Amino acid sequence: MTAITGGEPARRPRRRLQRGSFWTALALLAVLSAGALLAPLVLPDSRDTMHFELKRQAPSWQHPFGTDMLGRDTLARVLYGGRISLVVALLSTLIAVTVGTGLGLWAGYRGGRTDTCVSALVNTALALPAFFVLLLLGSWFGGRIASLCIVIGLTNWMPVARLVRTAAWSLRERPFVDAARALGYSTPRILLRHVLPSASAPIVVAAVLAAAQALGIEAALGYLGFGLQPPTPSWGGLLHDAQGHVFDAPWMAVFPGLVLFLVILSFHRVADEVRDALDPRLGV
Amino acid sequence: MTAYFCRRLLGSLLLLLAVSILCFLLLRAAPGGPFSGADPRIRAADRARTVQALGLDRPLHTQYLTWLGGILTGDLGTSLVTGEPVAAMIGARLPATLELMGVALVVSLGLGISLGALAALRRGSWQDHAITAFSALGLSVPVFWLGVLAIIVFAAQLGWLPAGGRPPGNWAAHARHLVLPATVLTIAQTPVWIRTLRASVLDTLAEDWPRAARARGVAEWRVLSRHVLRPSLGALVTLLGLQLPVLFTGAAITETVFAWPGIGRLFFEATERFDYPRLQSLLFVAAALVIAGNLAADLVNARLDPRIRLRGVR
Repeated sequence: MTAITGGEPARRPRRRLQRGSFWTALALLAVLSAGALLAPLVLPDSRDTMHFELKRQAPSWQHPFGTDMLGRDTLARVLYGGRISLVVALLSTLIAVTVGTGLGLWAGYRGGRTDTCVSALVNTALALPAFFVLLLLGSWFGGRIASLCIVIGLTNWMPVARLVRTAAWSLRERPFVDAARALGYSTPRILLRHVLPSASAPIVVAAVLAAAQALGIEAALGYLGFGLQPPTPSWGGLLHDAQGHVFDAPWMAVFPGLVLFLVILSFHRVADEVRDALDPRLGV
Repeated sequence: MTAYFCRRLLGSLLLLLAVSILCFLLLRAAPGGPFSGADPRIRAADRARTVQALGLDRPLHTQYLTWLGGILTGDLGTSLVTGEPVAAMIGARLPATLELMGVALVVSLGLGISLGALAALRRGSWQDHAITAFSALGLSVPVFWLGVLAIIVFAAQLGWLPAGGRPPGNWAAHARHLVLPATVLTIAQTPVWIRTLRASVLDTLAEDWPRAARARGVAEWRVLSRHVLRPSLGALVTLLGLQLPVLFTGAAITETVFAWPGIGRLFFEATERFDYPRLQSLLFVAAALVIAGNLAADLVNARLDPRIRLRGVR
């Protein structure tokens, strides 16, 4: 009755499809990063050049993404916004990964009471509704790049800590860690030189996922008006500007959001591929 | 089961206590204090009187214990903006959130189970590819942008559905207002179920018992429903508890986009107006709801799977 296809034959086309989408994702990220970096060189208009006679123009060859309520080119603002959004994602991921890896390694390696305390901290932080905490902290500190990165980083470290803790826990009884301990190495040295390299695979995956998450958070905070303040363009800020023009200039919301969506999608795709490459058992 | 129940209940209560301390400290860490949004022309004497009335001149631990004592007796404080009791405000808004979350949860579970099972049973087919692609897209799309997009297409361009709000009374209008936010939340949540169920069904199909059942001549639909689907659902129940905070966050974001008057919207408004008592109690209540939901999911799970409640018992 039902054709149950399983096993090998079905896997090859799927594999090729996945590879294709992986390279597409990488290419998209590369093109977008290049565009964001080179924006001042390739674009005729700067992000803030206003053409009042061209207010809220629909997409055209001149302005592929249309123009906003002040006649600024949306494509230019998306590329310039990408600089800010990607930097915020990068820095906040760095914070999240550093905090998460540090606590995770320490808790997993030490075990016992340390582990209980760190786990309690992680559980408490996870029990607080993330969106509310972000709104709260965003409304207080979200206006500047540095503080925004700290806010996003500090609400995003828990999944990393959990992953790293599990990895460190399984590594601590391994012979090479035992050997390092027997040689009398200090705990930081054992953690950094012996445990961390072996746990690097899940950390890389967690970092890529955290970056995708950070992009989404920046955009959501910006959209709600708690992100970076104008005229600094970020993807969240662009979506905030678009809020009042859903009816008369929908492209202002469509294109920045679409780019954000594609970037998050690409990050997820890359994370999946890295995970499959590092751990073939997980590949389904 | 009783021992497991007591252990989990105690753990949840401790977690709740830790969360309450964190909520309290978080609000005390606010730069500028409760007056940062207030008029600078307020006289010093008035300000001092307000500080005293709010109890802000007392030591920190006294303030915390007063607040905690209030919560235990059902008093969540009074809004600085409207003067209403926070408990009443939450009571008025909670049904809207539960309605949105409930509808999205039921629909997404139904879709997720059927699509996830279909993808696994027809592994490698075009249906599988389509469903997997949909879940990859759904997992990446920012919920609020999906909401904005839905408003642009269905409210602004086509004019089929309202862009937001939740009118009281008339259930037909009510349902029309619910369609867009519930659909957006469902699209964001369904992929999570699809992924888990697909993997879980594939695992079950590799076990011996479906083959054994077929060898005994059990009808194919019965093999699939009883011997494949049912054992695969356990993974979903486990995930349900873990996904509650995610669903809640999604609902809160959706509420702010669609002006749906729920808890998320209430919090958003309080953030804009620096209403500290409301923020503090809302944060705590939302966390308590999530913890309670988690506990419920764990208990259901333990009831279904004896291995869980026996773990850790020697």
